[in-house]
Amino acid sequence: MSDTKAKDDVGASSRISASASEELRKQTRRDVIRAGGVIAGGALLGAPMRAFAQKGGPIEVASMFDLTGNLNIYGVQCMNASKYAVDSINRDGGVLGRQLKLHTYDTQSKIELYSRYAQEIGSNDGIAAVVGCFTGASREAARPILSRHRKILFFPTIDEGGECDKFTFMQGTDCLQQEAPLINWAMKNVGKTFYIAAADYVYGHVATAWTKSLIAKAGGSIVGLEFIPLDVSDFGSTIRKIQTAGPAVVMSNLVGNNHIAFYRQFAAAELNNSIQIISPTFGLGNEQEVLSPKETKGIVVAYSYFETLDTPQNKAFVDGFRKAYPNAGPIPDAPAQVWNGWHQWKTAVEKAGSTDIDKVVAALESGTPYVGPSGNVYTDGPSHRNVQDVHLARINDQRQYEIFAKESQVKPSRDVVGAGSCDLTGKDRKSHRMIQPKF
Amino acid sequence: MGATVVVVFSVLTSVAILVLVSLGLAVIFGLMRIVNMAHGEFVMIGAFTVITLVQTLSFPVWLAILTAPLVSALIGVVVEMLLIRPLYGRRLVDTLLVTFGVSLILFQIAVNIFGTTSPGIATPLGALKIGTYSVSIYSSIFLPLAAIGLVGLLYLIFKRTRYGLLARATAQNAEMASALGVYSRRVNISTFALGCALAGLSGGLLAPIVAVSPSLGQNYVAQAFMTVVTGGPAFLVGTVVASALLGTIANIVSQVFTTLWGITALFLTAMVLIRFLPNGLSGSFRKQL
Repeated sequence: MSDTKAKDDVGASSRISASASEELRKQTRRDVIRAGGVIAGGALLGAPMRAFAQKGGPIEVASMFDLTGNLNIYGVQCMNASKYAVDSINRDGGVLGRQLKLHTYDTQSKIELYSRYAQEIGSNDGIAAVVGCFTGASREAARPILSRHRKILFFPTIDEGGECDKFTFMQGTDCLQQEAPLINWAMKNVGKTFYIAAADYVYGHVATAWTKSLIAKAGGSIVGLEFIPLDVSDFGSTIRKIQTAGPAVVMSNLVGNNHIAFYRQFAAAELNNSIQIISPTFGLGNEQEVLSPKETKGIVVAYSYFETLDTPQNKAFVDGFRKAYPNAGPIPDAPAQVWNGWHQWKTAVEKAGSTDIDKVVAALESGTPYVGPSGNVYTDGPSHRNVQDVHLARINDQRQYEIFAKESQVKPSRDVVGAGSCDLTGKDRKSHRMIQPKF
Repeated sequence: MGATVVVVFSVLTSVAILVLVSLGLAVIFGLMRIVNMAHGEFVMIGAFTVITLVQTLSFPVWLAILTAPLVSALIGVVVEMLLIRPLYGRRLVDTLLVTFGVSLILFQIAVNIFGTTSPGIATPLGALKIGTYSVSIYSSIFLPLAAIGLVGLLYLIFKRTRYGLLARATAQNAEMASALGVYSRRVNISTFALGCALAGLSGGLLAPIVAVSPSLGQNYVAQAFMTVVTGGPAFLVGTVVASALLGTIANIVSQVFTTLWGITALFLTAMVLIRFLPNGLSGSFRKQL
């Protein structure tokens, strides 16, 4: 969802990892051979050769996440989930009776590597699908290239909407899916007056546009609103303004490390006893780990997936994950969406009977359901976003999420704030672009 | 009434934070003519010292805050001996480049050791009720008192101690001081260590009110530079006056408008001041401290 972390990006090192450069070498050699073959034998000879190669061997797929650099706090767990999902699909017999072979790319928290690896994946005819990218900026670096090379991309993170690409599927919840349940819950259980504190960049503005319209629709009122630059960590004036406005609820659309200080200073003024914080972003940056339990206790968040979900599918998912990666930290929403991405793709491929991208996209758009760790999910054709359950959870005094409510099968938004809508099965069926929200 | 008192406290906090994060930079620049681009990283080291001591060794938070300047000073001494020493007397740009490199190195070491999210510590001391408002005692009362105490302490160090006298002498005329028997190498290393200690202490004091991450210092360093430049040649009095002015303006404007305008006002004021007072606020002061 957020591009903020990218601005902190300093990159671990500029060297390319040994495996990556080897990959590149192999790639170049293969390209040269292939190019030579085409020149020598013409396309007629090339086509049956490729078809033959696809029959017996594994289906190649790829993932790119930041395994090093300062975004690896998100990337490592997503890559773990990706390997785990592919292994588990292989153990269950693969896809169309063929095993999957996962190519992994470490993007090193560097945007330019997303473009480069996307190019590499794009020029490898064997690769049938990609699950990857974390920030919106990284997605927009890779997506146009993958799309041009007709590669399907599953993006696991929550985001503000606007993606409108026939070959891209957005797994995470959007603003509407997260904020509507939060606001409805707060209206019913806490109070009708809201103060909005939001990060002053694209996500914060789009999220706030949704917050405003949802509060108005629910009959609540907004008693204050402030956009806060990403590099601010002194919230003295904001906290004074919140006290003057006296809301029942604070909606926090704050993002990034500096903004974590808001929750700390809010608690230091002991406002957490009298004002309820709800947030669609809290937890993305492991806020509950950075803050102490008494500062976070009671904050209400909404995500599709929580590790504490009590379903047989989630138990199997978590047990298997812990067995494969015993030392990995908490499992937030995105790794579960990575798992969903691979399984939804598998379901679609089996329905289509082929890995051909047009057929797979059509199968996904038809909305074949898949019951995963977060519950039932299926693709909403026009928006290429998941219809999914959204769970509300409260943070307890042990840094854990206690799930207390569930909204079943919440539909994503097909509208982009201030910029029309995206309909990938209708008017935008040939679209490969990002619609910039306006606010 | 309540609101006014809360705004006053909030202004005090903003000014105190500016004073705290600027002092170390001001001492090193004022006495050594070195622009320490790694200043923010020394602030960050102090902050990480506090949360590490509290989290892993269960130090009381106050003791941890007092340890923070020692750790920063120690690292400062190593940096001075290895990298800064050969630069004395060289152009300002050379020191700028070297300390910028130090900043990048220290930042990346912190990322490697602590990652990008580390468990922090809660703000101590609880809250004070003022009418319908409540404010954090730590940031509204303790931080301003700490800033006042620190400025007083520095004043005494530079006025009443032998080191203070020698440091000022070296700053004024290094060659003459040397000719009179001042061992300038020792004075320089002490001054650099003192500056780093002050940065570390400010990081330690800020640790309980922010989320500590390797980029912590970078958020304050621009404001600190602005304050020191606006303050002018009298590094102690100038820094205090500049902090008071810029902090008050920034905070009041954020209270009336938004935080964004507050920061804008801070930078605008600094720009206008430097335009009309190129020697800084203390340029015309007679005291050179």
